[in-house]
Amino acid sequence: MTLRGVGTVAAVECSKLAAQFKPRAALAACAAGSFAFAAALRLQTTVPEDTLFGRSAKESGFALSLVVLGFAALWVVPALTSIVAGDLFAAEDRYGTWTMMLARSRARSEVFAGKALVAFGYSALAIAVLAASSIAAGLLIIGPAPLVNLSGVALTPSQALARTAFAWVATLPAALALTAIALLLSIVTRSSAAGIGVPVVGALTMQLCALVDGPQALRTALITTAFDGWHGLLAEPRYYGPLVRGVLASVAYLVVSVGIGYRTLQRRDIAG
Amino acid sequence: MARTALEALGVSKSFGPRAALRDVDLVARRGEVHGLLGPNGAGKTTLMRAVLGLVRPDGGRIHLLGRPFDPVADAVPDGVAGMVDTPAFYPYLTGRANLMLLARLDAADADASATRARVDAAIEESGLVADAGARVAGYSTGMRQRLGLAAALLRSPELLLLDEATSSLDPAAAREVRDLARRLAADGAAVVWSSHDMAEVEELCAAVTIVDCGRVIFSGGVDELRERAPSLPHALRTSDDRAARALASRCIGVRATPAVGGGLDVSADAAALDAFVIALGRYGIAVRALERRTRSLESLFLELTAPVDLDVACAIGAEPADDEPDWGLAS
Amino acid sequence: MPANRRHRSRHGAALAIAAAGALAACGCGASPITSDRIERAVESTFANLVQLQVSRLKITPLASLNLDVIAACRRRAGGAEAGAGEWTCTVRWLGPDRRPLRDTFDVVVTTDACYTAAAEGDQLGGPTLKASDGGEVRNLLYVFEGCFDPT
Repeated sequence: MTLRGVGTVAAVECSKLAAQFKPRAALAACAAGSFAFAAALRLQTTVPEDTLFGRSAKESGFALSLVVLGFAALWVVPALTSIVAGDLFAAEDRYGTWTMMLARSRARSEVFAGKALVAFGYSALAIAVLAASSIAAGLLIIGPAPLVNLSGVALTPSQALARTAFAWVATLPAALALTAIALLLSIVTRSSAAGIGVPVVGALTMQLCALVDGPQALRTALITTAFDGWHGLLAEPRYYGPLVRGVLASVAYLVVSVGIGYRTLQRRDIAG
Repeated sequence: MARTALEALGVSKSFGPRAALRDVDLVARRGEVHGLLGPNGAGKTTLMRAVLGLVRPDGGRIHLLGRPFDPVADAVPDGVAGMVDTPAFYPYLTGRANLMLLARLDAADADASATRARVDAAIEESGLVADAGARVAGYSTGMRQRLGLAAALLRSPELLLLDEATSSLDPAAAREVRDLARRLAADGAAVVWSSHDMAEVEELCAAVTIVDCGRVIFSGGVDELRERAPSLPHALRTSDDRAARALASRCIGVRATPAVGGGLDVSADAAALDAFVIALGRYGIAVRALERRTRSLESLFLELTAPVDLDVACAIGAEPADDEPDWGLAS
Repeated sequence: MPANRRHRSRHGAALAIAAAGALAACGCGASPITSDRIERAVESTFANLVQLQVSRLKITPLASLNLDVIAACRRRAGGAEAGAGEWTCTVRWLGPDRRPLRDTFDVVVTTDACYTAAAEGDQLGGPTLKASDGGEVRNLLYVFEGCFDPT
């Protein structure tokens, strides 16, 4: 397995993605969604009171971005991360193109690594688009007023921007873990429906479980609790405990999923 | 440069309880087209998939272009290409776009213009110039086969494996593909040609491997195969073909089947044939024509792979039974 | 393929054992949402919000910024003194002239260690307050939220 070989596979997969409608549409929806939400908020008088920073969403654009973050982690990110990852391997089964793909000068390990790279890259890109569009929408439509953080301290716009951006970055480990799970399902089930559907349903189920007051270890094992890690970044003093735990859990899920997925692909007979 | 492009020795593969390949050897030399024959389910496609690294054999060794090949760890070496089953492509891309993707996968460091040139050459060689710009979703099976051929040619193969490459092509297109295989062999490549069409293999191949039920039942030159046959068919026309056939079924070493266009095909060695002709006369069946036919591979193949049935024994030169007319001929 | 299935079940078994071990090691004990943690969080947030509110209302800042905020929180439902759900917190602090003031908050704590505190009475004002320049501002102390470290 060479880096160049992996890079070549990744480039080819990107070309295929770019030619498909769903991945592009999802990214466009991410970008447009934040602006639509900000505009709607501006027009109405009520605020989303059940989300963190909901009450300040009409006062500071940074609060709006954090509201989008809270909502996206619940509903959007699991779907976004599986839309490409859940299909990447299963599509070859659907089209019957494994024979074509593997009878080339690239080892199976390179094919796996290249596809995985693209899946993770797409998820990271989707999060970046959500983050950038929500911050932009907030600043443009609501305004760059100081943000009152979770300990009642007002942050200057530059401080708020840094913390908000960091909060979005803090969702990456969990998002990548979900991506890895979708990848694994795509390889093992050879079905795009399972690769996309199961992570979404799984994430929702995990969040329902998280509402129940269970032991901390169990909560950490639910990958969706890692999405709450950013809270500590917006408190005074900042605390990182939940974030660290979330990152460790995410890494564990990621390593195990990628490991099993890799071995499954290596051992598979493409028998047509 | 190794003389043998492909050396697969002792290859075995089972899918669950079913043994698809049992200790199969396949050797293909450069500069020749090697036929791979066998009934459906014999294991031809599985063998090709093992050679291309798509299926991991349970046992055996595979050497491609003189180097050992490990289906799990290794990528298919440059210069080895194949087309197994009906080739599949991404339907949302054009034929050319599909080939561009595959060409990029092959040569990790070629520049874009070199890749484009290779793709254009492959498209032309496989006769797809008119359709390369259309989406694969709208391709017929024949067009897909041509595209599959183009995909294999992209790799400038020194070893080319073709599985039923002409099954969905019209006769003119099929001939083009056969000419291509001959050209590649003439240029020094080894071509493994798997087919059901015996006439095609006979015309195209110098060497042939026949597999049945996962085992090799013959491997060698086509001439050798012909020589191996225990008997040659004769074309026989008599005054009563039905009676002649019934008589043949009672004689050792004689097999008579109805021939296309009338008469009988008789398989027997010289001694058995002589006895049969004498017996025909004894039973009042006149021989109108008896000529030796050149054996086609088809009948050879069918014989080699058909289940053997035992002929009812009747001694050569036996006396006619009491109730049968005595022709007065000395036995 | 029996070999593959055996491999997968071996993987599955290893994962299950590792997960059980992790759970045991982490000690599935009491909930980290204790009255202690809630009180400290409410105290500091309340104090910060009072300062912020003062500057927003554009009134002269208090000379002494030490409000000595003390919160006492108890679960509504009774029972264990820890866990998510509805709590009642009584907040005492020193107002202008060092006069002791207090108010009660309904505090709903969620399992992710975040809370929403809503003032029970209107000692601290209604949802909005009038600033010294006549403008309406949201009363930051009417309903406020925050999070604390559960680890």
